[in-house]
Amino acid sequence: MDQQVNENEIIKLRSNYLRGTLEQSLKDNITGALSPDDAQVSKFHGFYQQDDRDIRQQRTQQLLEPYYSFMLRARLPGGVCTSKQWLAIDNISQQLGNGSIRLTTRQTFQFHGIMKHNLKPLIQQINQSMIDSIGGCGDINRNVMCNPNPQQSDLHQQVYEWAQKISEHLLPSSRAYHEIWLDGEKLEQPDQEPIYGESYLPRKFKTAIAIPPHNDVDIYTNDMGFIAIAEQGELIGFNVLAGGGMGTTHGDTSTYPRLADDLGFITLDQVLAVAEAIVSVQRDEGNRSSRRHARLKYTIDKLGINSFRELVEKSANVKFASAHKVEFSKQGDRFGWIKGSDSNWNLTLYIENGRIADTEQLKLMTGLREIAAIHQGDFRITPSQNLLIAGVSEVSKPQIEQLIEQYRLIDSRNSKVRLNSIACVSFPTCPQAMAEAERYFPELLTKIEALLDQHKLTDLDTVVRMTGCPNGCARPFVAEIGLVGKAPGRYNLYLGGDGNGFRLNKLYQESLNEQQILQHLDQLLENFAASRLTDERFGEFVVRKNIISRVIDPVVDFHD
Amino acid sequence: MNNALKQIDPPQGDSLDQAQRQNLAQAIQGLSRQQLNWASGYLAGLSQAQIPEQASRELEQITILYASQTGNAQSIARQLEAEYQASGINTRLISSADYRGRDLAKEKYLLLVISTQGEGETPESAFELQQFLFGPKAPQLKQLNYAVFGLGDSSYPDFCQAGKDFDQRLEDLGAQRLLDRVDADVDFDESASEWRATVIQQSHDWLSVSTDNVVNLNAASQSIRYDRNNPYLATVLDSKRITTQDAIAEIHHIELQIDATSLQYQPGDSIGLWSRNNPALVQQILQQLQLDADTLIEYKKQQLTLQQSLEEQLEITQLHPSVIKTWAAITDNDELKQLMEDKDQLRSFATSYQLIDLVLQYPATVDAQTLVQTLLPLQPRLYSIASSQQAFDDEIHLTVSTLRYETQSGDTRYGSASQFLNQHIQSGDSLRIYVAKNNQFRLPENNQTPIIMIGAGTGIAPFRAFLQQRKAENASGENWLIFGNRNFHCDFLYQLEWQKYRAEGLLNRISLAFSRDYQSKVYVQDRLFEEAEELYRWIDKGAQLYVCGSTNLDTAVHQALVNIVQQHDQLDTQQAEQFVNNLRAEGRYLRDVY
Repeated sequence: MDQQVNENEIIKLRSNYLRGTLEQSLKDNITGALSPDDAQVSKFHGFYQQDDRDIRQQRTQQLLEPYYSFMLRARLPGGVCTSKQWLAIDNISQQLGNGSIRLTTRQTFQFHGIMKHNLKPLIQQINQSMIDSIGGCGDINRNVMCNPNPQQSDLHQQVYEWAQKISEHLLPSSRAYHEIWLDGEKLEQPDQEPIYGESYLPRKFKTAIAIPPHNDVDIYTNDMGFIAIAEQGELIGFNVLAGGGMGTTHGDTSTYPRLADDLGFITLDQVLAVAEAIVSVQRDEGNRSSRRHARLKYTIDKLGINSFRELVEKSANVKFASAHKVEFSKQGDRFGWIKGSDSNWNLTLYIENGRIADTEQLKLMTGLREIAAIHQGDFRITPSQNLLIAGVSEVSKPQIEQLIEQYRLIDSRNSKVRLNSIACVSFPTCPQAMAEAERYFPELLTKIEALLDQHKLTDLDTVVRMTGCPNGCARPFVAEIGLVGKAPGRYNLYLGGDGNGFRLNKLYQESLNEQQILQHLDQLLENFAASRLTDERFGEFVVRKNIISRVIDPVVDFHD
Repeated sequence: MNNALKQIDPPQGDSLDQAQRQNLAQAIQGLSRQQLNWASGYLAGLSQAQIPEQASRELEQITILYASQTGNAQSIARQLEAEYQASGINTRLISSADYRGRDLAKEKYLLLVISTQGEGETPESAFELQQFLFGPKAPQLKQLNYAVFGLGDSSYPDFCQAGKDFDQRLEDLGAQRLLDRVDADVDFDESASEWRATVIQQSHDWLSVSTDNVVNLNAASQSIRYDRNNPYLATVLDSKRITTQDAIAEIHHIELQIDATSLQYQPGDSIGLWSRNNPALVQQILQQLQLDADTLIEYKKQQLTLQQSLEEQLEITQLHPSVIKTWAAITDNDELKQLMEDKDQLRSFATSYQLIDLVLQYPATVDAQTLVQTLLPLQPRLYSIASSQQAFDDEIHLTVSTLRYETQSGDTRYGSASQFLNQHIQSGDSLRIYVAKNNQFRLPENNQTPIIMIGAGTGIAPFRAFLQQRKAENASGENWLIFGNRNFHCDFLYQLEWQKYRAEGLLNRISLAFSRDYQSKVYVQDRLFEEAEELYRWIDKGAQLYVCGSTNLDTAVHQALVNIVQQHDQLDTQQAEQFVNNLRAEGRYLRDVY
């Protein structure tokens, strides 16, 4: 690289394999924050420094620093945890967090509102429950997603094991996490990082596994994707994908969302080598000068997919076979009780915004705690930040149903559009936020529901997603209707996702306020209701009618 | 003063020669401004009258010694000195903090103004003097003539005890009492002015002084001096809350504008503030008593409306036992009369209630004039200054916590001045203030000396001034702040400033104790224990210790220091106490407590 590396690269390099000065920062009680370097290093340990942006200005007036707290994101491959773990998570959030648990679009959970002095006890406690937070955030492989398949139980078990294996294989080998948080012995000799090297990856790296025909993980939006290929219920290998990603920067047309490319089929014995090879090529070839161009998608567009594939094959010493033909039919979750192939029952609960908390109206957190206290199976967090209570035996099903009833955990009034929706966290804690998401989205949805009702489209299965910024945590660029925050109360409106996660949407209108959003949607839905083909989805309709042009190659046509 | 002398370039021929000038400089060395003024007048008189023989005998001096805690004794002493100016009698005004005990043996006339703290204690500034005077080395004082003016609060059991003790001790050492001691209560203004008049009148007999030969240069050459009785009008620049809305205490940072040439202060000083009582509260009292706000009353020989007098002249939020006593008589209420029998209960009642509670709980019919005569005069409130004049030459900053409490019946009551400052004043308003000097709470003269500043709550105020001053002076001495409050997020007062000072290298060490952040409450004294080794290192290298905050804090810090010293040097309790007391006596352990 002749260009200068960015600041983050320097921080990583001088962090001594992710140690930084975290221990000093934790001891420094004049501030609730970490040193600026440590605030970057901490991400690799799974937590972000945040502050309450609602009161930032006011606190400066009060000669007080911002109200700093931390968000910690666990590593939970496939989103699976036991009842015992759920109870521990619940308890930790009450004792050391802000009393709520946030389920995420990457099938894990976050604690919010952690004070600096509570970080260490919190990390120790989750580790006592056999959950860690290594690589929860940071320029490293993140939580590995896996379809929480409620029907094909046996296949899910096989695939889920691969999610764990990949996640563990791509863990950093630095001892920093154990030294700092778990009072592990300090290394005498220099640390090492055989896969990542001492400056880790140029940017975050996301991995997912899908089990067709369900694309709830939005497999094409990941840096690295594995599509499970099974024969007679036995997993035989994966189609490998690379180069998906959502994040963009407003006003910078050199940034774009991108769907992953097919690399080909591999057998199970090749999985870890290929995963490591893809990571290694990105490590060596990724852009380390501009962070907004540092994801694998830009590396692949720079190299070309064929050169990239060759580099991976060479590095892994593997030849990709032709990809198996697969079909996907749906992006969202399947709610309600479903019986699996192992004869156990699985219940998917809709969790608004993925936020587990008790409110006056709904004692969601308490209800789930009571369920966890008696549930023999496990819990699975879905990619749409909902919750699956899995592996309920025929015998214990009535007990669970009774608790669901008692705590009113299923609201039959939820519309299809609401059940398919996702919003990210955004204000007040997310440092990237430009506009509201979680706090506002439910209210906007009610108004969109009214429009659907008015146009007699209530049964419509439409995917609506909102994020507070263009980084894309709720994967808005593969939604049929995507709303991406631009400024307080202003959103860009994207249209034309296909509802399966196969096609990117595209900017339709910029910087709309609520009234304008609703006006546009009203017209579009009116039009749709009048000239819709049988079973045609809204995302297909807008493309067929040329209301929005189809995105084929985002480098060329996402911004045109 | 030496600099001023050098600048004088007298006309050739009439000037002094080198030796004469040296003699003059020697003679006037250490004189105060007032003394220099007097000397100038004296010399001017000489040049006009040319009768030097007589005057030289009359340079007998009256020493006005004050031992002040909140500035009242100081204020009376200063006023007395000012009044002496016109009389031509030579006086020397000095604080007990600066006074050398063994000089008592050389004094002929001593006027002592001394206040009493809490449970009969002597002011901090007289600590060393007291140790000396009441110790075995105290000299016989047969040559000494003296008078004592004591200040105190009759609601405390040992009323004016410090004054009584000193008065008795001086007599025991053989000194002659010139006047009977005065024990003045919280409404001391009148008795103080009577005493001053008596003292000055009698001084002529004591000294047989004629004032004919002294030219009074005073009026012409001295700028107006602002004090308790002649407050300065400062303008409010800003008053803003610096604790969060969910903080338990409402604390404001207040900035006042002053004219830097009219008002001078040093870090450690306080201001006295004349506030106004809350009109809504006055309204409530009047309503309850069914009195008309516009009724004209006579107060201190002035005609005022009842409302005016209650808002501006009279104490209505601090309930004094004497008021309860009168009220008991007016209402003929048995409960109140019983209360008068038990001093402890009476005091506790007086500190938990205000006039409005008395009026509500023990209704009475009282006319306006009686009400006014029942109440005590409104007193100024003291606030430690939170700024350095070196850093903000025409500003004074304050850190004010709203005094707020609930009575047993659940009503919320406020302290008059803090509520006035934090809830009623606005930018542009005028406040009546004066500087209350506190020479017992000064930065070390040597600005290389390390300092340890221990404060809780608004006790942080003078330390903000200290650091501003040290920064302005480019002082190289190390600075360590130990601060406690309730909650890191809500009331870490001036957090951003301490962060900046630390980043700049000015604040070398900061230790914090937030009592409500952890399950087990952590206080400043706990931090002292934790950091005992470091504390000891600092004391070893000559650090000066400062404590500012409540008396509880003061006691806890003192105890912690004793324990630390005891453990560190393996001393017994008495030796450890001695060590800490020595620190105090050496002026290395200074306290500003309230």
